[in-house]
Amino acid sequence: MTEPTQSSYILDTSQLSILCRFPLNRQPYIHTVISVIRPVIPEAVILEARRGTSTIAQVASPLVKRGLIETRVAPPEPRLLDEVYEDELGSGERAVIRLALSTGLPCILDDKDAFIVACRFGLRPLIFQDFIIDLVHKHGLPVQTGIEVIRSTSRSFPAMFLAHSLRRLQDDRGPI
Amino acid sequence: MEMQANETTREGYLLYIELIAAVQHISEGEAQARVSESDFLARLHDLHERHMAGEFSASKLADLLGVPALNLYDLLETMELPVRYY
Repeated sequence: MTEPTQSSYILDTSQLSILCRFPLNRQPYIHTVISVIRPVIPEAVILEARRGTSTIAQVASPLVKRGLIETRVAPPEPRLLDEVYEDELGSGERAVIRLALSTGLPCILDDKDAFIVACRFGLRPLIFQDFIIDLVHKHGLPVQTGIEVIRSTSRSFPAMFLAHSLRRLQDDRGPI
Repeated sequence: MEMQANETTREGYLLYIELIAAVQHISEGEAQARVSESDFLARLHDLHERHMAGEFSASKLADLLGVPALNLYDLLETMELPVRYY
C-alpha cells in the first residue's frame, strides 16, 4: 500500500516566518503543518533561508534539507508581472505568483497588493487564516490546533478576520 | 535605556552585515567598510517607514535592503521594529 500523497501549498516568506516563529518557547507550528501538507516555497526564498543564521533560518533550513519543505524554481513567465509590479512587490511574492500560475497549486499571500495582483492574474490566493482553515477542513488538522494557531498569530493580521475565521473553523461545511 | 537602544542597534547592524556579506559573497569586514552603522540605520528607518505606510511589501523591503526575505523578519525583530504582514 502506498502512502497517500500530501497536498502542496505555495507559501510566501511571511507565512513561513510566522509558522517558524510561533508559538513562542514551544515547537514551531511549521512542524505541525508539515505533518498534513507539503509547503512549497520559491527557490529564491530558500536560498535566502540557507544563508541566514537567524531563528527562522535555523528552523526552516533543516526542513528544506530533509525535503519536508519543497523548493521549486519559479519560471520567468509571465514577464508582465516583473515589468509592471517590480516597484511594489518583492521578488519573493512575484515568484509565488509565477509558481502558482505554472503549477496550479494554491498559494498563500497576505500582503494586500500581492493578493490583488495574484487575483488579477487569475489566481484565487488564500490568506494565512484561510490556509489554516483549509488544513482543518481538508487535511485533517485538528480543529483545536487550528484555533490555537489562528488565535496565537491573530495579532499579525486584521482583527476583524479573527471572529470569522473561528466561526469557519467550527463549521464543517466550509466558508460561511 | 539609551545603552539598551545602542545595543539593539548594534545587534541589528551586525546581523545586517552578516546577511549582506553572505548574499554578496564578501567578508563581513568588507561589508562593514561598504555600509556604516549610521548609513544602515538611516536607510532601514526610511524604508521601514515607507513599507509601514503601504508603499511596498515586506518582500520588496527585503529586496531594497539587499537581505534575504526570510531573514528580514528577524532583522526587524532584532531592531524592535514592527512587521506589516498584510
